[in-house]
Amino acid sequence: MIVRRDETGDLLLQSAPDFVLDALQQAADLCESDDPAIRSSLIQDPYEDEKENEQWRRLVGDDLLHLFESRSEIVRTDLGAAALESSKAEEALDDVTWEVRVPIQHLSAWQETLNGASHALFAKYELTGEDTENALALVASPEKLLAVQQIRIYSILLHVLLEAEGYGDPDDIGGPEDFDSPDFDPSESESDE
Amino acid sequence: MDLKRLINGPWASVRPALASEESESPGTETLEVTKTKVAKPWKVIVHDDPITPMSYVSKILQEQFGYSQSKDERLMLQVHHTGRAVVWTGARETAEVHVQKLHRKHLRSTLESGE
Repeated sequence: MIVRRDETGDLLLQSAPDFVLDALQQAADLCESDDPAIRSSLIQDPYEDEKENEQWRRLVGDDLLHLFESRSEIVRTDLGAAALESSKAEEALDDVTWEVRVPIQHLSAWQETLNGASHALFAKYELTGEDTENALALVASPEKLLAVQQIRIYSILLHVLLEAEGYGDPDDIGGPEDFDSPDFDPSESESDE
Repeated sequence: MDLKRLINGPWASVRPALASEESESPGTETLEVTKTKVAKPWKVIVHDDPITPMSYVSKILQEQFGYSQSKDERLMLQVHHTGRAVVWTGARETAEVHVQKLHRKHLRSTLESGE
């Protein structure tokens, strides 16, 4: 798959194979899913107290769901406009590739949908951090293995879309020892606004 | 019939006596102490998770809180290495707004009452 920016600033995902397009369609669907595991993953509980969490869900739950649906719709519309690149679609299905245009104004909706879909899959298949790092351990569970691969596709695309905005991961992310340094003061992270 | 009780209602007997009503013994002073309780600040905490890219965390923190790049990176690394970071503290209502915005972006985040 090739990613490039056109003269308008929009991103073009080119040579995207069929399975990537399918995965992207599913990303939009996952963020709207009413699967209880997915719902509780996407509508998080911010408090330790369950009564406060209930009230929170009552107050903000619908707002969040509408937002997720709206973003999914944006992604779905962009995918609906994807252009078929291969002219041999009917002869060699394996060669089918697509060009997807991500308008610059839709970039955030795409990023948030991809991140939300990863969380949804993680919750739905009860994955762990180890599963995502060592997918081969999941060979005995094809559904989980597929979910991990799908999360990887979302992760790669999310990185690409973030880099397009200048948010690449740092090459050297340091180590835990950095936090023992007297230069690092976690309290600096607190502000009064 | 307790006329005073009828006029003032049943709470009359529990209403604290005003300083002027009190029968003070000569040479006794009444001190009134007013205490103002300051609301404890609330913390907005971002948690690490195995799937959200660090660059995404970085972007959201920059956009939402307007932190400098160096502060933003330190917070992001703190989340990554220690599992969590306090990204904001202050009034509860504002903290709730911040957490809701983070939840909109699917960033794992919670609220804690400061001690």
